[in-house]
Amino acid sequence: MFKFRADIVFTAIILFMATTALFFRNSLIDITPIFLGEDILAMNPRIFPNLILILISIVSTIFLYLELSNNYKIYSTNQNINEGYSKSLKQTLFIILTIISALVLTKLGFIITMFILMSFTSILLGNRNIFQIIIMSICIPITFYILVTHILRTQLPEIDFMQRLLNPILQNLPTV
Amino acid sequence: MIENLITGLELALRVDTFVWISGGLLLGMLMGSLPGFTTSMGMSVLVPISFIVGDPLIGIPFLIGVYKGGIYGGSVPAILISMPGTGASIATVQDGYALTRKGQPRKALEMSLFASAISDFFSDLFTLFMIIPVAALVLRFGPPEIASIMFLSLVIIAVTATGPVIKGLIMLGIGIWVGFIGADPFSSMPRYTFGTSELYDGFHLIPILIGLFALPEIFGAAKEGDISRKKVSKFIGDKLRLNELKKSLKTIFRSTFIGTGIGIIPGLGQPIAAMMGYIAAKNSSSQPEKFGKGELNGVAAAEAANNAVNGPTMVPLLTLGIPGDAVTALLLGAFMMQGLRPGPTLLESSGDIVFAILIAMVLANFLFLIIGYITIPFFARIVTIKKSLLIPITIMLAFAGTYLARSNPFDILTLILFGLVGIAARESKFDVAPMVMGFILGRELEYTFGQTLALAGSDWISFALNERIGMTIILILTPLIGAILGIRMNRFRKRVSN
Repeated sequence: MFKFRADIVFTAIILFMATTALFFRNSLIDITPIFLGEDILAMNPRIFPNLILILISIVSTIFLYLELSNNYKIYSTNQNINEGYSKSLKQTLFIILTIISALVLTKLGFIITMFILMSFTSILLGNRNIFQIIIMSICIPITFYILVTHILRTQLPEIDFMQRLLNPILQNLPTV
Repeated sequence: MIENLITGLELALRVDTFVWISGGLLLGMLMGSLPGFTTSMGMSVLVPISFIVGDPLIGIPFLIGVYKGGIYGGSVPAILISMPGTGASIATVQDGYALTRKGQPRKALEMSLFASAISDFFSDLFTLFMIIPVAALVLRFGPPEIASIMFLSLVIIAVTATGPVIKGLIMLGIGIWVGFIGADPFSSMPRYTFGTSELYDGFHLIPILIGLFALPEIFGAAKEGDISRKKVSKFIGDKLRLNELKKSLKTIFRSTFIGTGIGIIPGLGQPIAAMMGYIAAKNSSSQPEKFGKGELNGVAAAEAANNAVNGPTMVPLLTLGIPGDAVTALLLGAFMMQGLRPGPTLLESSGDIVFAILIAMVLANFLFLIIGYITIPFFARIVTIKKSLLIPITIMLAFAGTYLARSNPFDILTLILFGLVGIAARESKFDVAPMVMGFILGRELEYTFGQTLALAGSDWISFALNERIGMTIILILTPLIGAILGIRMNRFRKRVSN
């Protein structure tokens, strides 16, 4: 099975995005509705970003030209399809899991989200000791939550129910 | 000055001062080792303590202990789990984590500690004796000189990145462009925000760091699966040998020199120093191909350079009242709460106290070494934990660290976005370090360049040749330095590929 090398695909995506941003340059960056003197605004806010986008486009084009002219090197081969499929499935599951966790973190709170994320990640990595998974996924997030929110007085998202549940412990702990 | 120095020495040699410094160092190391919990966050939590104790010779040295410990502590997760807690550890992750993968986490941590303590000691000594003449020189630095130094840094970073120069340039460009997202620094008009308020302040550095460096590692581990219990190393690797430290001394002193120079200029900071120190070490090495693959000199160079910044940042702070970064801004607040107003008159009004604090800062390095050495075995044991337990803990720290940075749920999405970019970059063999440096420096470069244009007015030539000759010299030297480094790096890359 042949496919383009990863760096070529990556650079092509960057080139596409840079040229698209250049094409829509006037609508993506607003300019001041009133004239500001040169003492305040010596440089148009579009200059630097557009300059960088032009440079990215040029450098990416040069890279693609150089690589594509060596056409015998531009494909990568996947030698073991079954092994590759299993690994890709694990990676895809991991990405989906982290995206879902990121989306539900403020809804479910830190402790519940981390319980789900940590236990599934551990299973994904081959841990089959349910007792170990549960202990780790419950104790570590709770300890960490108490350390940073109560002792170090910083914030982590948490739902009311969990906060009420932890209140008896928190009341007996010192703070900084 | 001599009188103040002697009185300062008498004031500094107090047992309680050193007990508080030790407490600060320990707390700093613990906080620095929590990913996302930056030194500035740790210090902001602990600033009230320095005020509560009342005595400036206890409160300020305590905070300086937190500062030193925090910068060193940031290297611990960078070395052990490839998660740079702060921008200062970006360069450390390259070789530190590679050493951990080779089964030598203890060696990497010890090198990090010794390099940090040695460079910190010498840069603090420099600060103590050179504070007055250096302050006079720094006063002459303005936006044009800072902009030209940043431009030079970007060129050097791009040409010396791991892999081909062209890949380094692409990643640097992406990093700079990402830095432009948000409000324009002059007009405050939104750029690439798509009408969302979350993007108006731009992306925060912490989720970008964790996303680009840690998530690809976790992703790689998910691909490999767990290692059976038999294969999990029960050892934390060998101790650092004296001859290995001796071999790295030249690198440590070079990085100390670089870090000290960068530290005295407000606004440059540890990430630039660490990267410049690392690049200088890579460039002067006879085997640059070993860098990024577990080279002890790489850890020494990055850690010595970022810690050498700590002392000299006190120069503009104490003499001019200019804080170089968030940490020194907090120290400024702590000084003011103690009734000491940093600025040109501080050395005249409270010279003895200032010198006492600086002497305590120099002597604190011995405590730093002792406390750091005692704690290394505990930190190093982290890698002996089974992967199916360590990776979930790491991912929890990644999420928590990101959220803790500024309590913004949007940062979690930023973490995932840059995690995906990091994974794609790793699969494509693109180095993400130039991207991070581009993100840090690009926006600052634009800002200082804009200020330079405003200062220059219409007569650019007279401005560049008569008023700002320092800027002109740096700008003339930039392509020259870039070309020389580029040619050297290409020669090394060819040697490696052969």
